[in-house]
Amino acid sequence: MRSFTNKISTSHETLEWLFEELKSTSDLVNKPLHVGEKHVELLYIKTVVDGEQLQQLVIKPFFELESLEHVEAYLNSLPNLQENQPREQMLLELTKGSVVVEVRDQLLLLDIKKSNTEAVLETSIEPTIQGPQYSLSEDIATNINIIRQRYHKPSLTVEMMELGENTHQSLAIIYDEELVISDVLENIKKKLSALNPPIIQSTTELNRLLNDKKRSLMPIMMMTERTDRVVFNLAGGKVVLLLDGSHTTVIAPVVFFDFMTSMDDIYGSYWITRFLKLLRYFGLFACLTLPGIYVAATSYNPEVFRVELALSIAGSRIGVPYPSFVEVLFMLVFMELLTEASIRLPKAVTGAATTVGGLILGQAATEAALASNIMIIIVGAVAISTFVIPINEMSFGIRVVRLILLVFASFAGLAGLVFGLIGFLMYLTQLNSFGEPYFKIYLQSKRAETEKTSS
Amino acid sequence: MSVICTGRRLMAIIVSLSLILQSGCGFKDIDKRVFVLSIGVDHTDNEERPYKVILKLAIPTGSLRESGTEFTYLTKESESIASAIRLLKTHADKELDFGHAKVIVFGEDLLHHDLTEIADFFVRRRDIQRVSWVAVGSPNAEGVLKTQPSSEKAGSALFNLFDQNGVESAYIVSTYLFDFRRRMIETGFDPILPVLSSSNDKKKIVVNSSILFAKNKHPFKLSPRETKFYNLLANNTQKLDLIVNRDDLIYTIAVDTAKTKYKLVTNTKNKPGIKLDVSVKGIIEESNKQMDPSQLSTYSKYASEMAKKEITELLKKLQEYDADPIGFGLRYKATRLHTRDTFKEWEELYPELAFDVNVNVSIMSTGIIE
Amino acid sequence: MNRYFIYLVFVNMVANVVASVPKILISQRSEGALLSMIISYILGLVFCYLCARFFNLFPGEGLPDLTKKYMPRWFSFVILFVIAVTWYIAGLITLVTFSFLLKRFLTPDMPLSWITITFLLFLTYGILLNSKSVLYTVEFVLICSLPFVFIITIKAYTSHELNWDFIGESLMYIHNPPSFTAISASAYLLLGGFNLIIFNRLFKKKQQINWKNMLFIALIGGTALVTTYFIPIGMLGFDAVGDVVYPWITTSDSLRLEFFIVERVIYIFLLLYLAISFLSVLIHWHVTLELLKSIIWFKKFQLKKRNLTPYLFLSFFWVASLIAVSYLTEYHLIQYSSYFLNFLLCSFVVMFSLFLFIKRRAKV
Repeated sequence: MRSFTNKISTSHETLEWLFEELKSTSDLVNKPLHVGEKHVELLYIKTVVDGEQLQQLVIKPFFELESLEHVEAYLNSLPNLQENQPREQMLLELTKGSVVVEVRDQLLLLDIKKSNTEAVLETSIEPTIQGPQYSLSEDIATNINIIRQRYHKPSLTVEMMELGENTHQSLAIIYDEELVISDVLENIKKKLSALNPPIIQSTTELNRLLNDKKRSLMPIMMMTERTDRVVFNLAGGKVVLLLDGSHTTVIAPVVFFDFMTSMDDIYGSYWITRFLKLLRYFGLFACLTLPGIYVAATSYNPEVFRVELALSIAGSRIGVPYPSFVEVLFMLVFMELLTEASIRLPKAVTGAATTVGGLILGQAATEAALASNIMIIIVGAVAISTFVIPINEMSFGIRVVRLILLVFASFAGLAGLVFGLIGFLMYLTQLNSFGEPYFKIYLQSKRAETEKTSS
Repeated sequence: MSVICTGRRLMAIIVSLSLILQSGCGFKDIDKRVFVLSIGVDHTDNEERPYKVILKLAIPTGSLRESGTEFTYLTKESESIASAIRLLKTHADKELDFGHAKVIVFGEDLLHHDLTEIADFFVRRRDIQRVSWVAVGSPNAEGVLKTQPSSEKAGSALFNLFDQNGVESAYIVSTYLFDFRRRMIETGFDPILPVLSSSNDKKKIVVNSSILFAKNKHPFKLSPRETKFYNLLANNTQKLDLIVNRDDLIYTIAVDTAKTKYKLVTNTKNKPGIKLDVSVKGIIEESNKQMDPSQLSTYSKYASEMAKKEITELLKKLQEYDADPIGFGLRYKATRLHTRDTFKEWEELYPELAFDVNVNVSIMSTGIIE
Repeated sequence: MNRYFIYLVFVNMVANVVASVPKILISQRSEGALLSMIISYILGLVFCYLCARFFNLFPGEGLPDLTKKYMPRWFSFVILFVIAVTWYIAGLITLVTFSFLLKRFLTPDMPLSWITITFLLFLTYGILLNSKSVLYTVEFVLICSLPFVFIITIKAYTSHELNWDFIGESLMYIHNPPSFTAISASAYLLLGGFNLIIFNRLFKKKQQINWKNMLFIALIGGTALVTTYFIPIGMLGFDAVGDVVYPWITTSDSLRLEFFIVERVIYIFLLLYLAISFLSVLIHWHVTLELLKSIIWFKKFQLKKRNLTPYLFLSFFWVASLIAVSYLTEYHLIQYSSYFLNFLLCSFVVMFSLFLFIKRRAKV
């Protein structure tokens, strides 16, 4: 009896408290429903609650059902019902789109979220020819739904947590319990719980936040929007992180080579995909080294390449006022600007920007003898090779490395370039992604490799 | 991990500092260099300045495809090649770059003097390719270098003559610098160089003979015909033609494959000798009469006899002259367990050698007509 | 057998070219180089096998861990210190030779000390990495460069200019008695496996060493040894090769790849060997550093909670290499390398008695 009264006061007090807390919000609705004996009180924020659903699920049955007992039983049976929670949590849930129903001195929390972000987007960041053309939505529930739809296995585990001191975004940790490397999972969870950023907006932010090193160049988690990639990686024992409000996921742990695979590599036939892979690695190599090779070949070792090439470089450099590395740097910087500009600009203007920048600037630069013809070819080749790298973050990283290599090549020629490449390699090998080596060649099966070097 | 971090930061600072400081060392843009494409050395009769060095330089032009490459020449007489080049540096407004010097031409007069010092210069310098071609210029190197064949484009300056990707001919002996050097030094293996002769109007270069200089002997010229057979013996040259002239019938065989094998026979009681087997396969390219396909073996026989005669003559001539460009002496050394006197034995043996030449020409076809 | 072990063996086989091995062998070409090569080939294979077997008994333990366990402290200190110095010099020889090579052929206008400093900068970063990363680097660089080594080798063997009669001539010296210098020089090719003294720490599982692995090593080693010696002779001439300072560089300059982007093999060769000799120095000095760390560790020598002992060693590495580079001439370098290689071979007697002693003590 005592406990009962106690509960009454608590539920009412809680409601009052909630009301007080949210009073200043103009879209707060506190609606009592009243008919005959039956009395229910609803508290919700109008803008985040799906009104139609509320009507269907709560209001209509309330008037149709005979007694308050029935209503309570009915509400308790709803799948949207959230378990009893402390009032602070309730407050938080209210802001997310839950409805508090006070029925028979009991507070029920129903999740009737209205989300305008459920629409599944088309893949825009990593388009492929084959494979699913839709990516994820910006709503976490939808996303989990999509992933579960594609990965039917009881061992698929979804753990939820909250992130962000102010925004309280929900974050899902998804993995296949049977396949996941438990050390990595522990590591990720530990790091996630230690995080406490005020706001977090995008999954990619996690990439930086979860990295031990404050300054890093290479991504140690892979961002993707492709559901097939997510599923593929889940099956490979990786952990997928999903943040509410972001239509991309991040995958960990990763190795360098993951960033060089496109999902088309799985769909195509053997030789075609081998060829494409080879092409991609060639592109990587070319965009890393071409500017450096140009500087080395023009300013240090013109005897390395054929005499015809040497003469034609020398010919096209006639009248170019600056040393080769300034020339390269100049053109590279403008190319980077062009790339940046075409990302930031509205889609309608992008075409104009690239035309003006690419065609006119390039043409004019050679005409005005600010850069040699061969330089323009190289810059073009470099730009195109950079776009071949399937994952964006990696290609950003590579763009920076390219400049560093250029510096080495400008100061020590081809030898400097080779040193630079080895230095970059050493940098990659010492990285690790949540305890897994980042740059390592996998010649044998994955299990054998992980066992071999576990030290 | 953090140790590495600081290490890296420290390193980055050191690197950038050192790079700024050292900039300027070795950095020389391509437009500040001028490429020497060929080097010629002539002998002057002046005792004090015996060498005349000619450098052929390529002048880069904006549009290589339209105007081709233009050349310019630098000449200087001096007491050594090195000093001549030092002086020539002051004649050009750009740094001379020898990295692309692909052809080295010695004037014919030079061969009558000691070549050791000159060869030494080219071999000792690091920037001259070991795969540059060495040739003899007739009448002198300057004339040859200054000749500009009208087909010469894009800095190809004489290269294509020697490079078997360009002109393929059995009349051209191509000798790389390193090959020249090893032949100069080794015993039992003598240098042979192609002879480039320029026509009077300076529009044409002809390479079809070669010059042989055995150690401590005067140079000795091989005629185009002899050069051809030398190439057959030493290099298994394939683009070869054999002209057979027998009883009014004249026909030419284009050789597809040729293979030469030889063996030194010294252990028999007979006179020591060289057993030389040449097998040649080819087709008939030209004839003054109709060819009878059933007679192919006869034609082959005639050709074999003709070739045998020619080859034996060439070998005899070489023997008489005591020259050994094919490397019989080397083969002798390579097949006898080394003693102190191995080579002396050979020197005594060579003039006595008998040549047992077997040529096996097989004509595969009469071409596409009979 | 662990593939990382094979890489360690490989690096020495390929990098011997910049450790003056061909020069020393060729200088002995009429003084018994051939027989010495055969002897050292067998010797080297046996060494390699014994070393692999020994460390297989103690998976996951390097030599310092073993000596600490089974030897008196002072003795362990002395022996590890001597080994560390030996390994340091092995790396130093490669470093100095390659600095000379770069100065001579690739960047002639750059001061020698700058070339060495560039080398040292990257090496410093490399040897401070953990052993695992070092192995990954070695693996990747090797995988990238071995195809080129292979192409150059094939090109050399099939070259029209390779005169087999010169090789025949050199074979005619087979009856000359072997010389110790030549034995020790050619044995260097097969001694790469001894880097296990540190890298065994990473091999935590027992390996299977069967005849197939050994045959593989023997085959590759044999090819490397034969190529190292005979190709320069065949290309440059038996007598003429004698006065060439860098036989292999000159040999590579005598090769042309008519249809490749880079026509002159020497530049591919130099860049290739830049990477490979870097690996060689990296491995040797990493071992040195780890050995030194295991015997000398100043606990108090700290700055911001970071122990500076490795940096102390590194500064010694720097000073010694810069001094060596500025005082050595090419001639002395070859002479000292030859002395060092002689010493190296002798020191393996000590090494093996050490192994035997540890094995007895450990009773395995």
